Amino acid sequence: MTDLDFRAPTDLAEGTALLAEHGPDAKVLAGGTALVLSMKQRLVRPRVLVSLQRVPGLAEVTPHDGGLRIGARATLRDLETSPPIAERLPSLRDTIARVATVRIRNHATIGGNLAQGDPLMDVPAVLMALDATVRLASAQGDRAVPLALFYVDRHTIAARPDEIITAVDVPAQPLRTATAYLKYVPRTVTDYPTVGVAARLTLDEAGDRVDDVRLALAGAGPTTLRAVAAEDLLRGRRPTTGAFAEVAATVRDMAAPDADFRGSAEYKREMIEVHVRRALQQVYRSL
Amino acid sequence: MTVHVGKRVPRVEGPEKVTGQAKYAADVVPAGMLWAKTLRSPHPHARIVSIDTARAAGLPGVHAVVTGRDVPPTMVGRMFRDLPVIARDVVRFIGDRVAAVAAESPEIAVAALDLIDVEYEPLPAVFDAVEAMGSGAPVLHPEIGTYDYVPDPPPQWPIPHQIPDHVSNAQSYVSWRRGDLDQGFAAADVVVENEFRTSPTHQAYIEPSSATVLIDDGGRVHVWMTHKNPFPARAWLAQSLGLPEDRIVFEFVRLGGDFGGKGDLRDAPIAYHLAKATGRPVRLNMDYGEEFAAAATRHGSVIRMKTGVMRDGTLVAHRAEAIFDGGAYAAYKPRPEVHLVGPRHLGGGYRFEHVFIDAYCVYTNHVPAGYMRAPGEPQVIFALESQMDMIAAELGLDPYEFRRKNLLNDDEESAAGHRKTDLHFEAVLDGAIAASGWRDPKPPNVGRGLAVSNQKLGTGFSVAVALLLPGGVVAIRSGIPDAGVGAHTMLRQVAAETLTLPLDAVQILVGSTDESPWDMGLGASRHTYVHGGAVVQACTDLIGKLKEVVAEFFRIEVDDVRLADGRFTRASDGDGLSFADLARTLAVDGPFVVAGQFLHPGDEADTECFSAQVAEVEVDAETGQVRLLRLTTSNDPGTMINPLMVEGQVEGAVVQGLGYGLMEEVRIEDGRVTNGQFSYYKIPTMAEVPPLTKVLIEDKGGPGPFGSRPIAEFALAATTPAIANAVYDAVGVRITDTPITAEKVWRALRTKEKPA
Amino acid sequence: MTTIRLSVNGREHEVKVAPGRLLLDCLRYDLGLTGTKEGCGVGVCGACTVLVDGKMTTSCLTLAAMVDGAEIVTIEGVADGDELDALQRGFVEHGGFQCGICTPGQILAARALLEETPHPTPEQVKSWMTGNLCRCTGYYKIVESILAAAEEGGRAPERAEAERGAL
Repeated sequence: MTDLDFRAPTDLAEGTALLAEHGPDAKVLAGGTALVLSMKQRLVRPRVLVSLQRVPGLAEVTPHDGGLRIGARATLRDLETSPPIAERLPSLRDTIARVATVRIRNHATIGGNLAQGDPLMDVPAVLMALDATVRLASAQGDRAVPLALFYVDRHTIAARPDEIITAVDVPAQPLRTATAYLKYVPRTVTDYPTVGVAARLTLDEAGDRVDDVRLALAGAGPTTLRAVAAEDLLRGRRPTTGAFAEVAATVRDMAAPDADFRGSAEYKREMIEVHVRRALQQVYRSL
Repeated sequence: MTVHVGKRVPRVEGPEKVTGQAKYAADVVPAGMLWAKTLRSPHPHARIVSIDTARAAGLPGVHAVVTGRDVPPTMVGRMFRDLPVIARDVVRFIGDRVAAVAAESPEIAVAALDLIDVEYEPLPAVFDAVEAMGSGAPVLHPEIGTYDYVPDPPPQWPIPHQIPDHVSNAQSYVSWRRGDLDQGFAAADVVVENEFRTSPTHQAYIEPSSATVLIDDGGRVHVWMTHKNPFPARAWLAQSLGLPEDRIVFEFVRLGGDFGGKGDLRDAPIAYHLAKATGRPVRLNMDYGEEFAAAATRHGSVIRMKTGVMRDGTLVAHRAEAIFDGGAYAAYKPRPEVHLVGPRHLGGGYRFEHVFIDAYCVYTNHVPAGYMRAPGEPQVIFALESQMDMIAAELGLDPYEFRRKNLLNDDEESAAGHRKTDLHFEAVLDGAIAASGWRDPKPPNVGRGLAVSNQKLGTGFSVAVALLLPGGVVAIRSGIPDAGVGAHTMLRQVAAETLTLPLDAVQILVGSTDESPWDMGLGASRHTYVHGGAVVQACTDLIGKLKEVVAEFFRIEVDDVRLADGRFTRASDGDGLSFADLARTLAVDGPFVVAGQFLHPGDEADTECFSAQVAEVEVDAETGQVRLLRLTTSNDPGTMINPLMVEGQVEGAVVQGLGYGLMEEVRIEDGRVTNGQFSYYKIPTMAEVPPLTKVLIEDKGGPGPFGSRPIAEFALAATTPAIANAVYDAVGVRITDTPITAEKVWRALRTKEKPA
Repeated sequence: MTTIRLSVNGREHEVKVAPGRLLLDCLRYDLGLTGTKEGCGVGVCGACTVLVDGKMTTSCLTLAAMVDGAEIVTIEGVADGDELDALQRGFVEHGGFQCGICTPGQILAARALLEETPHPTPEQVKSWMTGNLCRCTGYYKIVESILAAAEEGGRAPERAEAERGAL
């Protein structure tokens, strides 16, 4: 960490200008839990750190278009204790409350969490199920990318190095909808998940058919994944145990988890099946 | 009735530790200190062809670079010297040190490592201990015959020259034999044979290893180090540097956890060579990644057991063979036989007529293995207590009844040939059964498992010095470090009790190796037992001396002087002198000294301790996840000098056993540690710890001070097999290798449902 | 080098640090406050926990420059002179530590907990404290220590005094 410049711009334009100027040598710094660690381990060696700590307006949760706009610099702990999140997006709150530890959630920001592109992250999975969109800013202008399209490959995201994640928009959730994220951590509660499954289920007005469903997975491949094909299988059907099991088996077959010390690929696939089934049953029961 | 013994006295060093004032090794920063880092081998086994340090030495801020060629070719080790201070010709594991840099900052030191060019010629490597023993395996230490022992000449009892000829790469071998195995197995109704495996683990103390060396103007070498045996370490360092011992002082620092892992010389010699080369104090810290990859793991093992038993549950014959993966060096093993203590428990506290035990420690190209809390026992007890449960299941017997039937009585010979008395095996076992609800009804997928272990009492040698100070205060000078067990607090209680003084009239003085009497350091749960004995003797000596003074003062016989409540009185009229009066009478203006020492008899104590654990688990039959619902631990600590400390040791040991059972494992693939950070290597957090019921059998008749018995390591080993046995009870699958991961349980469940 | 201002335990400091200087190293080696410990170095063990503007913070993953202008409390700032606070007393009296290396972090984490939840249940203690590893105690006595401190700290001093008098 020699030859490093620390910059703390006081507005977003200054920040994006710094990124435009320094290109890949610059890194955006928010909570630091991932970036500082990567720097310590010499996995990344930026020349310029662009800290967002003085940029105003990046950490608020505000109503937006019927849903919520969540400032990227909001810490996970801010969101875990945010009344609008608890009220409007309880599944997001519950998911965040299970990320790492309280102390890490005090630093780690939601923008930083999304920017990792780590398939084992919990929050991207549940946000994907909630149909969230990522907002990006750069010297060239602002744009929005649906989270479902945000993850390109392992540790590769759709944002360019000169872009700053400014917010996550979570749209108003449909009626008759429930969402849950199941995190499977058989060693310690602070671990990354062996697998994680987010499920959102929307029933039709009569309550006896599936109107819509989202399934998003952590630890099932190189990126956070939407199980679109499996979702299609369930839409319009009756929400039965058998249907859920069939969908879960489909997700298992499409998953391509990494083998690691948390489990073999075979085991993780099986755990994906179990947890997809359980997640669907749980959200259905809660409706 | 005791006044101080048995009280929950808080730690004497408590205020220092809760205010951040306690100084640990890394907290000492001498002026002008440089920061060092070591370059480690990326190869599991290779010849060093060349090392070029010129570019590193030229980096601004770098003060010195040393390689194996720059330091004297001494070898180090706690008992067997097979470890070069820095590798010279050959590296034997990924993480072996090949060079070291001292620089103005840690960042510069790390950057300089990148500029050291090493050319290696890879050599064939061996990663499996069983394979390493075979004739086709590469021989990792061809010059083993030239290595030295501490002390020299080597101790006589089982040492490597007894290793069977056909075994390659053995570090050491121990064995016990009794009876006739063939005859035993022939007589048995049922023979049960199984193989068990355990994974290497790390002590996971929270304080990583650190060594800072300063050479003062007079040439004295000051060392601030994370070390549990400062006096032996001083001797080893002196030997490795070719310096007289009195030129070296290990300064007093607090120890941030040990669990057996901080007993070797680690980086001190390199820090010295860099300090010498630069003329500046040098700090060499291991970061935690280095701890996992290159410190001293608990040995992984393969343990085979074959046991013959009668239908009624009577054990007859037992054959146990343990192969421990010793890694690249044997230097971290402190015992004369360069082995672990555990193998003697391969037959546990059970009665066998015929028993053969063999245990090997074997070189492989893995991170060297060392000592970790109850060295060898968690592996061995996991195997044995799983085996016992499997036998009980085979015979359809209750695991408790089966064990109770076969546990040794007083004076019966154990598998390792010991006869012990004053055993509380049944009381401890029954205590666990009663407290755990062993026979209570269970919901589906819930199970209870029992396991027991017996432990020898630590031996050792310790010295304590008692000093009468002005004002009648008695100070005890002690050289024993305290890694947290509360040793100094308990020694103070023992001293105050013996002297009949209030606690605040007794001081425990700890200090550097210059200031303290010699001590062999921590280990073998011997703090209270051995060192407490030294303190009692020192205090008794002081009392004897003072009684003589009082007798002379009153012109009476020494036998007519009584000591009570801090006063020496004459029996006739109760007139007397207090410690303060005596200090005044003797015109003490410096310390009035009596040295007391306690040399533990070379042979071990004639009793043993015992521990019984019951685990209650719930298994998720779909995922294999094991959730601990409850643990019960039963132990026999004798008189508890300080119940707060005893409970702390029991609780800590149980949770380490839990970690060993369910999650801990240093993963090594092709010689490389692949989970070497706390992000990946998980130890239990507060959330994983289940309700714990403690049964503490106080018999008051232990061999330690005031009838105490050791406790520190004892509740660990049986916890792990209790969990394995509970999993079997819950869902009927048997996991024979640690840790008992969810995937292993799931796999076993699936195999059980759909037999291949 | 950049100059930052820190208020540490109520004392103002101006410190010149390299941009990559960790808060942990700044506290330990620039300000000499070695009560804050380095353990795992990767944000898991919690030995380096300090309070930054009242929030528990991983000082081994925080650059000093990131907390420019902040108020920091380290373990050295918890006691009032020689008078230990309720948590420190709780940890001493209930055996909430053995080797003590994790203790500064444990106490600061517990302080942050009691600030937010003055009367936590054992379950709340456990769920809050998972970021502070201890290898010695098995955690039982840490939970006891914190609950004891909460009980003591939750009462006004006069009332606690009166209750003691009544006994």
